[in-house]
Amino acid sequence: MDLLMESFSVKDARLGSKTRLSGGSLEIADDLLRSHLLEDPVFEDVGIEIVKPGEDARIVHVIDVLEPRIKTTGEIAYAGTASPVFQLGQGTTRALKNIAVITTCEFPLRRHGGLDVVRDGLLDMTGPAAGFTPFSKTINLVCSLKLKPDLDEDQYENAVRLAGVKAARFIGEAARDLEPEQSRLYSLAQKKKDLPKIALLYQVHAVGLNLNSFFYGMPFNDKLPILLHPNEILDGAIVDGNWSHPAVKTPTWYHTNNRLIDELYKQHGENIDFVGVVFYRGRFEEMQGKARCSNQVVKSAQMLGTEGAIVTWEGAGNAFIETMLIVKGCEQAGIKTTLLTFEMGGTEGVDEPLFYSEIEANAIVSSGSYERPIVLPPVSRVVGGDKFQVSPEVGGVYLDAKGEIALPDGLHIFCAANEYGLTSHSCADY
Amino acid sequence: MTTLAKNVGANRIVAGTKIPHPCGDPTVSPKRDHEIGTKIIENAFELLKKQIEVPEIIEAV
Repeated sequence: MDLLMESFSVKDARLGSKTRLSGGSLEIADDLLRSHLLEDPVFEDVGIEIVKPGEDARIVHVIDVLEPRIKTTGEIAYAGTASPVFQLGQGTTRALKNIAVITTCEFPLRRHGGLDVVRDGLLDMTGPAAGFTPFSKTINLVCSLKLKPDLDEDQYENAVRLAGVKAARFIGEAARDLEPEQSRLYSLAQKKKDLPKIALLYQVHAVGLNLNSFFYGMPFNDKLPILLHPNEILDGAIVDGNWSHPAVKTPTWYHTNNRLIDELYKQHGENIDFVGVVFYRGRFEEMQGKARCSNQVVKSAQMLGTEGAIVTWEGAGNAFIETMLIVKGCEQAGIKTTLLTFEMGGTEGVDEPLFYSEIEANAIVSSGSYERPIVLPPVSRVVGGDKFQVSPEVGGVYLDAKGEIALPDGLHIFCAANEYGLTSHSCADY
Repeated sequence: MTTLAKNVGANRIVAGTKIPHPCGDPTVSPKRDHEIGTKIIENAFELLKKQIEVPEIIEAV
């Protein structure tokens, strides 16, 4: 299963009458995109705006970020979401680089508290929070989705997720008839004997409504671990559906641009034998479920002949128990592990960094703490809405989205504590 | 979640139903939900009455 990825670099973008890319300059037919997204009767209105790197701007109510993509070998990009299912991770895919589709949506606050209410997320293009994600450096096409009132929560969840994918495909079409600038073949075919076998143990958040990950369009919340080809992840088999925890979510863009997979490929055949990905959800609701899941992940790694495993996770709470049980199980089975995670540590950084651990976890890469207070300065432009909502547990406190925003931690900052390592944050011992 | 309780040094541990609903089960009838919750609380009282030398756990009903 080889995947040819052809990429096209976007240097600037503007709204116009046709969708086309020429010499790095992207024109987007925003009226057509708008009508296309408005085909979904859940939306009352859709706004399309461009936000550029370096702008003193803040995007609020952030839902997902996706890379514009198409397939030129008959499949459909992000197959299974608002489309038939095709096997992804093979054939040819075209990607527009340096540009991201960002969906925003203000969900009505139907319930107070609860684990799966939609929490507001913000993304600053400049200032102290700009380094949390790569999107302060990408040209962002922001689709602000306005929901019709009085529909069901699952209709809202479904509509916003599909809208992101549709927009990503729509923009991706600009690359269909062009000559690729760069291409890269992702293949595990080259193998040298006696290279250490390395697997990626890849946890996503998949619990239920507003807190789910989708596998070829299928919600993954009641599924057990499965074996994936890394190309499937790079090619959009996983679409994000986590609208509840902005700090620890993994936007679809992070899956399709997973830097760990990218690096494992670069090393494959030279220093390592990349044997595959074990894909699973954590956060099972009782120890039986956690033990069952962790054992299956460890067993799958063993059946791949894994000698070393990279362990990543997604979530903020008890999902980490599965992660640690897997580290423990692998180490006890003779598989060396490296764990990548954010840490907590409290406001001063002196509290316990992890709320759960097993003694076998002896190699951990920290992506920094999200428990530090942060003050975001006022901005000149805000996209996606006027108000920023915090504390949904108490009914919502509404702040002026353009003004200074003082937060006690990174919970509301988009991807502030992402566990896949796509951040400029880490930790230092002193 | 008994492992977590053990790790932080709790001495008397009673396993509940599930993380979102530790003292009951909203997926069954209200009568059975109540019975499950009552049993868990009774287990907790039993442990509180006991003199223990090492940490004790009562597993899930």
